[in-house]
Amino acid sequence: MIELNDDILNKYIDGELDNGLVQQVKIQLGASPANMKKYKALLSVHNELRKLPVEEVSSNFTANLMLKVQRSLKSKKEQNFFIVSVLTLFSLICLGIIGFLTANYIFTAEPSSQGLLAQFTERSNSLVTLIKNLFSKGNISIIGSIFSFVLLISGYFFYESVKHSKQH
Amino acid sequence: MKGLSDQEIIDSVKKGNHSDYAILIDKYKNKALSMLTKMLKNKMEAEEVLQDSFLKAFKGLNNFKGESKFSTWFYKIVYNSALSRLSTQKRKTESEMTSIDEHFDLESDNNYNIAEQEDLSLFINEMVKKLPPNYASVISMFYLEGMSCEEISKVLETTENNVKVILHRSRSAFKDIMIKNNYIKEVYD
Repeated sequence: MIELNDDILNKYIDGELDNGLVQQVKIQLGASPANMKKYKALLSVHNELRKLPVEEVSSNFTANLMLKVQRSLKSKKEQNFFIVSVLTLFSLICLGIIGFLTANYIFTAEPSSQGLLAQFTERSNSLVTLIKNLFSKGNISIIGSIFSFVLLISGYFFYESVKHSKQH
Repeated sequence: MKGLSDQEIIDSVKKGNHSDYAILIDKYKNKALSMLTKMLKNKMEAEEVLQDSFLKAFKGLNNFKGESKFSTWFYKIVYNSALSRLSTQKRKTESEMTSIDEHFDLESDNNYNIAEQEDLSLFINEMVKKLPPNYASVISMFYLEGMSCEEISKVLETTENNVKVILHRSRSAFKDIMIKNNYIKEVYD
C-alpha cells in the first residue's frame, strides 16, 4: 500500500509513475472516495490550467517593434561609421608623423660608404633618436595635449551620436 | 514564410532579411505577454518588457548558435528581463530559482470571492494571477507554451526537479482551495 499524497497524484497525472505504481494508484482511488475527490480536484486544476487564456498584445505591437529594430540597425551602422572615422583619423595622424620623421631623416642624412646592414642599423638608430627627441620632456606635453584634445572631441561626438540614436 | 521553422527564420534574419524577424515576433508575442503579465501583474509593464526582450533577442541573434531551441533561449531573455524589472521596482520576488521554499497563501491573500465565482476557468485564472512570479512563469511556460520541465529548467537555470516541485505545489494549492470551497462537488457531482 502506498500513501496517496499530492506528490504521487501529481506524478500520476503527469504520467511519471511506472506501471506497478499506476496499478496501485488505480486500486486505491477506486477504494477511497476521499482519495478520488482529491484526485479529481487535481485533475480538474490540471485541465483548467491547460485552458488558460492567452493575453493579446496591443494592435500595432509588431509594427512598432519592427520600427525599433530598424532604428537599432541604423544606429549600429552610424556608430560603426563613427568609430571607423575616428580610427582612420588617428591612423592618418600617426602616418603623417611617421612620414614626416622618415622624410626628415632621409633628406638630412649624409651619403655613406658603409655596408648595407651597417647603413640600415645606423639609420634605424637615428630614427629612434628622432622619435625619442619628439617624445622628449619638452614635446611630450604638446603631443599629449593634441591626442587628449582629439580624444575629447571624438568622445563628445561619440556620446552625441549614441544619444541621438537612442532618442530616435 | 509561415511554414518555416524557427531556425530557418533566424538564418534568414542573419542573412539580412530583417523583416522576417516579424514572423518570430508574431509567433511568440502573445504567449510571452501572458507569462510576463502573470509575473509582473501589470499588462502595460509586461508589454514594455516584452518589447525590450524582443529587441535584446534581435541584437543577440548572432550569439544564438542553435544549441537549444529558440523558444528556450528567448524565454530565458524574457524571464531575466522580468526579474530585473521586478528588482528595479523593489518588489518582493524570488530571483534565485534554486530556492523553491517560497510560501504563498493564495487564500489569505485573496480578496476575490471564490464562492461567488461560478466559472472554474475564471477562478483558476484569478488564482494564477496571485502566484509569485517564479511560480507564475513555470505555470505559463508549461501550460501556455507547452514546454517540458527540462526546457523550463534551462530557462530558469535550475534543476528539472525544482520545476516539478513548483508545478506540483501550485496545482496542490489550487486543489486545496477548490476542495475547501466545495468547487469539486459542483464540477463532478
